[in-house]
Amino acid sequence: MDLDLNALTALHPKMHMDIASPLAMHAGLSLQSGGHAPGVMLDAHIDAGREALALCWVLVDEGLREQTDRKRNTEDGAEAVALALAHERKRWTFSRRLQQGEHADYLLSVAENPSARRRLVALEVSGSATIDTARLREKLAQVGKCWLEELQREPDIKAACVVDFGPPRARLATTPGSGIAP
Amino acid sequence: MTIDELYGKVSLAIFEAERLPDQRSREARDAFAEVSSLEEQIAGRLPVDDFEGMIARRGAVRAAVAAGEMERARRLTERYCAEPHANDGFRRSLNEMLLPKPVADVAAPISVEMSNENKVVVVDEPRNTPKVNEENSRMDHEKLRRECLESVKAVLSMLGGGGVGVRGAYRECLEQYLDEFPAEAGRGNMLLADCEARVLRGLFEEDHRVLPSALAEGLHRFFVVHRSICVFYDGVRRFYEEFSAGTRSGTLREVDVGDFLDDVERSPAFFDAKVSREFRDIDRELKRQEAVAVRLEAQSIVVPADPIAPRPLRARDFGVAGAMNAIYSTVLIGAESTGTVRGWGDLAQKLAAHAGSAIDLLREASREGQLARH
Repeated sequence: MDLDLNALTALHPKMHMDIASPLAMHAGLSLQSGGHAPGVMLDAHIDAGREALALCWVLVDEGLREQTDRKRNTEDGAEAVALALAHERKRWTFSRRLQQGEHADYLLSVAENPSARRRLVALEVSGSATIDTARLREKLAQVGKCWLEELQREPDIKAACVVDFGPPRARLATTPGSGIAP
Repeated sequence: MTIDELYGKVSLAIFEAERLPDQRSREARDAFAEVSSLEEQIAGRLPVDDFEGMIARRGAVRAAVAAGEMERARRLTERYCAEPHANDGFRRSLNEMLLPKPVADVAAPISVEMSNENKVVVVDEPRNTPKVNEENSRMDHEKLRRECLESVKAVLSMLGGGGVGVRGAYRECLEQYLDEFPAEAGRGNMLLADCEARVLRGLFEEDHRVLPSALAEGLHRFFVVHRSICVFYDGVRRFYEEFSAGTRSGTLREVDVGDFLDDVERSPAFFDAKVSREFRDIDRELKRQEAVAVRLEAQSIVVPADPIAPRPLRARDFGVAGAMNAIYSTVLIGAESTGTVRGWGDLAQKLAAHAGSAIDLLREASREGQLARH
């Protein structure tokens, strides 16, 4: 199974190309910085499971690296990987981006029977130099907190995804109690 | 336009606004104004008791604040809070967005944090721990510390019997100095000890022609040793450097300082008693230092150049504003971590009403202000 980072708008039709393209470019730069070429395997941990997925992207001009910030490459690149993974493995699709301070980066919807009530997923993404369970726990805590207490409402599913570009790895998990879609 | 189209537009607007390199630039403010307008349109389509409706309303207010459009943010908050199905938590969350943001990483003469018992407490601070490196060893510091305390005691003993015909303020300053001087790493308040030394220096400059020569020599020796030992305490230099770096056009409103302190003192469930005591000490000492500096200026008395604080005028405003900012910032952390329980949110609202002028002044006076202007 491939994870095509340049196909974000195909996976998430409601996502604007002007968001998807920079995310894919930053992911490419981050992966290339780690010495990786298209086809490199992503070690993906999804909930309790683990699998390898081939990462595909169009090679990015290395000259762009000097014009971009490394942190931005990591963070935005992580979003590209997380969004691709969220769709491929959960069938979650982009609804909207959230502002900073809103406890998560994206609101996604669960692709279900069109007649069913739309279910919402809040996804918090983090790019990291080293992936660890503590980081994932921290992000899950971030996405898991506050809404219910603040608003007496919350999304149906709260998820976090931590991505590392060293050896490409990703961990995608939902908070305990969140309904886990297939 | 459909909700999905609006979602697409607002997502792009957020993406672009948050990626602008200078978040305080005109361009960024315009970009966030656009986000606020789109969120407002989305809010108009979704009910207030729906999760996405609440997110859009919060987004409209949040982006208006980021755009610096506080009046619009307040108007939207009033409108959304007045909606019949808005719940209390949602209303509170909107009001919290209007709270002024404390200035981050600014030198303050007090350090506070949340204790395990959920109270704001004063904590020891690196400012009061000598920084020892290869050039200035621990031995050097210990030697200077002893010399410094001995020089203070020597002057105190000269003043001991009275009848030397000098102002009582000398004794007062030296005793206070001993109280504040970090007798052990982390303890005391070196900034306040330094304030006492500066006040003393001012008295000395006014009186040195008429002081008995032994006393003048004793004081002179103290000043030399004090200045040498200050080199070990980075925080003192940082304090003066930071506020000297920016402009100082703002004013700290005295009524705000008083009301802020009143609120702290009326909330013993949230603050350890030492917080307000330390705040008062800081206010008093920095005021005394400033009063002496003003008096010397009026008398055209030139104090020898001080490499740490070339011109300590207005240090009091900066110091007190820094203390207010630090306390308010810790209360916001309390409000965020404890949510709606135990009244931290209400306390944050109360303190915010008095902290605004302090935060404005600090932002203007500190490096952050200087950076923003360039």
